Amino acid sequence: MIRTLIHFLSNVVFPQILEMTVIASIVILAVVIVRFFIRKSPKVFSYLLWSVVLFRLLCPISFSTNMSMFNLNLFDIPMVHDVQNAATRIEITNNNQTAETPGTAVANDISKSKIETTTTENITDNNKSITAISVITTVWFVGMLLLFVTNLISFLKLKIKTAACLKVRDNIYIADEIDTPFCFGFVHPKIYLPSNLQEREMEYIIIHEQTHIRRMDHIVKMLAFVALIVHWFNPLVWLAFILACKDIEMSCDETVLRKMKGDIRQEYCMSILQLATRKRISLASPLSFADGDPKRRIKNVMNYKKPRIGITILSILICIFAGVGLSSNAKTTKADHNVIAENTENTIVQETTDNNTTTDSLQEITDEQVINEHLHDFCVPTDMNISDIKYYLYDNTLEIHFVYEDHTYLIAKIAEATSYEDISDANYPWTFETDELSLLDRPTHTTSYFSDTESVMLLTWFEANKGVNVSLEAMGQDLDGFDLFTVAERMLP
Amino acid sequence: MVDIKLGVVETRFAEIIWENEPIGSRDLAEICNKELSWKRPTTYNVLRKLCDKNIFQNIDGTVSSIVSKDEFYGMQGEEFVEEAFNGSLPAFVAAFTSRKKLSDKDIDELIHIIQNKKG
Repeated sequence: MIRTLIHFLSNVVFPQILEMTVIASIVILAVVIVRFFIRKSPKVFSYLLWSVVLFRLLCPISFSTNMSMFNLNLFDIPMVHDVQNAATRIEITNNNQTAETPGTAVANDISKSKIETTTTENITDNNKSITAISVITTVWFVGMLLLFVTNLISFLKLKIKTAACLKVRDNIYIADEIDTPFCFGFVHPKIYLPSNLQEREMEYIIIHEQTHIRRMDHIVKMLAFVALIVHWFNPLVWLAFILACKDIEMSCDETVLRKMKGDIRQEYCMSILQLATRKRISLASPLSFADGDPKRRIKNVMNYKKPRIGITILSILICIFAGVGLSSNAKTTKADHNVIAENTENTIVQETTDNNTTTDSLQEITDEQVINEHLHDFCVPTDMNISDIKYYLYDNTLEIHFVYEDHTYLIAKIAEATSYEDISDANYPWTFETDELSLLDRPTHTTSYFSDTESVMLLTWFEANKGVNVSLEAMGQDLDGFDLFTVAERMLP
Repeated sequence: MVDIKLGVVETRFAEIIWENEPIGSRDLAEICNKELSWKRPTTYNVLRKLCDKNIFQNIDGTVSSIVSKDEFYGMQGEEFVEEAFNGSLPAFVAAFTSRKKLSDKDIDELIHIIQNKKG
């Protein structure tokens, strides 16, 4: 049971968290920069930017737009499947007890030794040793739990302190044992005030807390806290949390100033100062009047003027631009499909070269006679939308590369042999495999692999009539529904 | 030692006890539940604090006062005069009467009290 849980956390949850944290870190840095530029504007805009950060920290998926900052490709952002592959490869490495780096060589061992179980699931079950990813995940989980429990205790203590309270009106109460005013509670938030406040103070502090409630700040702060304990290992997230709390308080101050008649700035600042000295630090403390940086808040309050319309519009534009740009993912276009195909080709070529005992790079051949010699009467189907046909020859294996309909990259290999052998040398953690299908009475071995960014399908069979092994591999961004079988059938002699 | 520094909430609670004493602790909890929406443990907690301050006592489940309401406010008044008027009652009365006019009834009462003290 625990094993399953750890496995689930390590291979599904944690990689996702890592991906989110990396993306969010970039977003946080961007927000910090933008925030610096709009620091003279009302803090409500900073607040909006932080909500983008929160979205990135808590939501694993997003929409794609052309405005996304991630279209810039400034960073090499590891996608989930890479992390998962790394996890799989590390596990496989452990299994095979090789010290090879993840990637080419390792997977070759697997295909060569023809491990029956090619799914991650099976490998992990067979692997009794503790994997690196599992350990890291457990540390993360325990850290998260600790933070949660500590704050839960503070929360409960606070709840007890506010039990002995008197109702002033509506949802406002006074209590003796609290130092600072705050609002508490999720569904029906209540405002608690220390019983030794002055009349005038109470007035604007109540407005301050009511503003928090109206803006749903208490819920936002709760979500921020969840994000913090999940991403506790990322110092940028802590930075974001602290800055965001400051911005929440300051934007709330601004709202109070707008609402109160007369210039209450001096009294307000006095209150901030007085109550700030009473406060104790706690992460998940409910929205307290004493939150945030008192010095910054006082400065902000004293400097607050109704913003000029120009600055407001500029700030709104910056926020929209930054907001959409940071919350959306990059759009992948058709061009990218070809890039993926190319990259995959390079990888395959690279890997094939690694496997050869000869050090010759793959030589393209154009001599028709030589080609036909090794083709053994197979042919590249010409009636389908095939293009870019290239032939390569090595070690008596003919390799044919061709592109199907501009988006799927196919490699066919034909090699003489006396019995079935998987000559594909393809290196993927296969997620599907079967020997049940047959290609016009030839027993065929099929495997496939699908991920967010690429799919691979592979057919291999032994052509008894010709004494050759054939493998047909298709690679593309999305092979859903792609009929590799038909392509294979059309190639048969 | 009696600690007469009470917060607003504690004072309200004390008033309830003075109004209803002697009273069983359970009944007290009932009243607090009705008037203040307090749960029973809350009532007991605050009661314990006030007992520690030696204002009230809880003997075998019955709550009664050690310091009566008049005594309590008297002591608070003393402390106030001590702190604000250096302990000078005349100063306090002077300050008090400078803002509020004394009614004839008040004056008679004051004279009565002073004469008793003098005698």
